[in-house]
Amino acid sequence: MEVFIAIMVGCLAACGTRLLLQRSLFRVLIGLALIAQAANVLVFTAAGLGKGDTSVIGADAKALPEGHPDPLAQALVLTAIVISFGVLAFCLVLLKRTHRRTADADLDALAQTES
Amino acid sequence: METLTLLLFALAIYGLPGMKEKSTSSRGGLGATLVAVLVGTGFTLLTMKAFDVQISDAVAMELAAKSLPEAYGKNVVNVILVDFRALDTMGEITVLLIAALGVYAMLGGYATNHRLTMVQGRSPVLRASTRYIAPAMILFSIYLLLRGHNEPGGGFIGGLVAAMGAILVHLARTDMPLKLYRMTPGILMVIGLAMAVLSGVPSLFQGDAYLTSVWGGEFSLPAVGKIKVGTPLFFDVGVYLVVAGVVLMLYRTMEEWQSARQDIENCAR
Repeated sequence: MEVFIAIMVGCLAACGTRLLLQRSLFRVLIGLALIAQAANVLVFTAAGLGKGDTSVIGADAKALPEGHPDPLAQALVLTAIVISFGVLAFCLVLLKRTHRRTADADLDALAQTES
Repeated sequence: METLTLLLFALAIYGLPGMKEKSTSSRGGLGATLVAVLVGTGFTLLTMKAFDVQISDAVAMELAAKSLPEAYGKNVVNVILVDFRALDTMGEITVLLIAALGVYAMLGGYATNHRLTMVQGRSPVLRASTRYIAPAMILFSIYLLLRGHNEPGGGFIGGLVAAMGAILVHLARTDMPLKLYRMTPGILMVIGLAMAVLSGVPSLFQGDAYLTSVWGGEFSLPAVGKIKVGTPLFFDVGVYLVVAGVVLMLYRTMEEWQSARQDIENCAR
């Protein structure tokens, strides 16, 4: 299971990097999103996977059972996911506007456009 | 829970115009692939390593141990978000709000000519089922919000579900509960942020730091169970409103801008 997830994180990061290195800004954006996902999953797994439990204290228990996943990391990842969603939406719209203005989403072409 | 976020991603990207790919030829194909594979391998190794590293879990243990006696919550993640690290969450919803406002400003606000009356071209099955599903989703989102302190759920996920219910109404173009969709997202967002900010104030009167939670009595609701009233609950409601408002605003500005463009293009033809 852990090896599987490690490979998955690697695949996400690899695909993200590959997209990041392309010319089309739209693909660059998707690449960024993929890398963000990879980082999120990485932090999430670093906190420990447990046995599929959530970080919820049982009905009668007073505290979390032994070997539970780290709740702090999960909370941080949740925050990261929401923020990356917001930023992605913002970037998408920025890209849309740029596209409207220059009718081009190519990095090289944009580099030659003044202001 | 994260699947919902994913669905929203899909929605956001779907709303984009079909961007004409001028050059599909990639730059330095082989080199880029090589770099990508290297980065991927690096990430894999890092993850493998991360399993072995025993991070000092004193902080997590402390938080988990204090969750029930001090914050009266069994969902530790949610307790961390709305109680122990509430300031972080407040910063986060502020970022969301600014992003939504930025999108709103860039697209020039809502389109003035609403064309929501067009009904053709939508599946009648979707229309009929939305009548019942959308209100149920809103109700379910409130349920998620209220029980979030003790079980999986909370303000974020509740807000997302609520926003998706409203978006569904719009997608299906039902004539009935358009009001649901018409809820002004801006007002939702501002009320939400104000609630979150104000929920930190009561503790100041007690001489505690800002955002220290103050707890009151508890009451019980059918299907949800006992709910303890306190400033974190208000904070969570604030998060719920902000998330719902932001998602709605993002969707609405994008969608209406898009349909306005289509109108212009149709007229030009």
